[in-house]
Amino acid sequence: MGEMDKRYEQIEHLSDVGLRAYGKSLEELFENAGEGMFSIMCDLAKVSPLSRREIDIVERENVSVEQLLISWLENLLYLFEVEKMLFSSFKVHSVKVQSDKSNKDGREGDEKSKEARVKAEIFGEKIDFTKHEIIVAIKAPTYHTLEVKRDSLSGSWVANVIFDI
Amino acid sequence: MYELSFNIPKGVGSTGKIKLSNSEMRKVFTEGVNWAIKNGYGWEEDKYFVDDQGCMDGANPDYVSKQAIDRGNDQVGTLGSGNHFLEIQKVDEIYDEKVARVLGLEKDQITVMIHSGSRGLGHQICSDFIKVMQQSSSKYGIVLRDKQLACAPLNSPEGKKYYAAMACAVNYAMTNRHCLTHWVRLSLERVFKKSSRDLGLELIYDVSHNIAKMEVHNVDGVKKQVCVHRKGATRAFGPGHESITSKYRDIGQPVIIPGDMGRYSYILVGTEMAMTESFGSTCHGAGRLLSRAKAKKKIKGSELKEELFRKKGIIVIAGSLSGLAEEAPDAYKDVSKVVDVTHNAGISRKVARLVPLGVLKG
Repeated sequence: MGEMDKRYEQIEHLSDVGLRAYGKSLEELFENAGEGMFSIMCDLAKVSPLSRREIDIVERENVSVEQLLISWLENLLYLFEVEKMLFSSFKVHSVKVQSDKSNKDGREGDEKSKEARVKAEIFGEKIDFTKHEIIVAIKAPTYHTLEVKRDSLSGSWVANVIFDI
Repeated sequence: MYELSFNIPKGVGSTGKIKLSNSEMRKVFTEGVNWAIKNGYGWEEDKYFVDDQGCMDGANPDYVSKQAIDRGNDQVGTLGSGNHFLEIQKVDEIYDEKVARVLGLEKDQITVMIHSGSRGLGHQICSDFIKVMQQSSSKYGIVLRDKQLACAPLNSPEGKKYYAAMACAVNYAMTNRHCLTHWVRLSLERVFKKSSRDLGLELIYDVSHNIAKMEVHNVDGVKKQVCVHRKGATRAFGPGHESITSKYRDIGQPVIIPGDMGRYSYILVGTEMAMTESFGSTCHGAGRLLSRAKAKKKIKGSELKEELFRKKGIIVIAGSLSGLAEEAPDAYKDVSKVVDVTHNAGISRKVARLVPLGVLKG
């Protein structure tokens, strides 16, 4: 994989685990962050996309793209812990945040509504200990040194997240 | 070890032995270890050897979200992954015979150490309240350097609610460890075909680290009620403190310092100096030397497991070999040096050193 095609990578953090995710769009960024998070927990090559879940996160507060990314990852972890699901395939249909200057989104938001929203479909399967080895269970994504940035030249996104384990 | 690994749910994506209804969860939140004892997980006298007699005051289940309860209702009595562990250990060095005797410790004795906490429930409470407090930091005009730091004044509505939810998580964590203790007792009963009382499986102590507590301390010569938040620290109250259980009051509060799976762990006691120098606190563990990514690159889980057995006779049972590599002894600082610093600084005193014989990892 060339540097340009890189979708995510683990980054150094002394006591926890860090992830850097890339994406040409916010949707792709969220997909890659989700996949990257599960890749820390297990070998995704062994997780078949047998079962589908729909995700629709609506945040009524005026949340930033960083906060929305955390909500997205928290939702995925909730399904991991409560439904004992591992996910390997992510299709994010839309990521909507307010188009204010602070998050440099650069796209048209819904001016009337303060709502931020992520709509997605994710695919995976129930944990099966005969084939899945859980390397470590992530407990939560954190805001520690959290960053979601858009490159002004290429327009592509990059996010850094540290996870508590 | 195999009996233990069979009986102790790791809880990584698997379900524990106990699944609780919402009303039972609320009881765990408000009753703590008393809930466990009432339901047959533990002995009546155990609660005297848990901080706050196994139940922290001020818990209010109304401030724990549904998501947190969902994450926690099948994790009572589960070990978890990461740096959590269960070890069978041997007392290999006693530094203070008199204090060790009060704790019921002697050289070559076998002990069991459990490191686990509030699991997914505690993290969900944290996540929920970070969202709330991100709003309140600006509301109360507090500027913070890191986005993971979010706060509100303790006496604000947000602060009070968080404290009440945190107390639920603390009570849940103590209950979790208590259920784990129960299964340790049952497992050893099965192996040795003796009752756990005959085996002498008494609880020495249960202490929580990473916790905030309302305590009275001497601040600039004035006694004040303060909220002491020990993150990466453990409470270490000195001898005579009224909150220490009567059996241990003369020796100071027991402190448990987990090390790494290849070297040592320690039992310390709190000191008078900790009361004046560090708000009754000492260290909480060895601390990492290598990041998880670096440890995994440097160390292979299968080789580590084999080497620990060949060189030290330590039996390791781990849910994941990669996960094991991340927790390798070389990834940690030498706990002996860390403990020596606190001993020499006088904020806690060494009582006993423990070596691992068997290690169970999630």
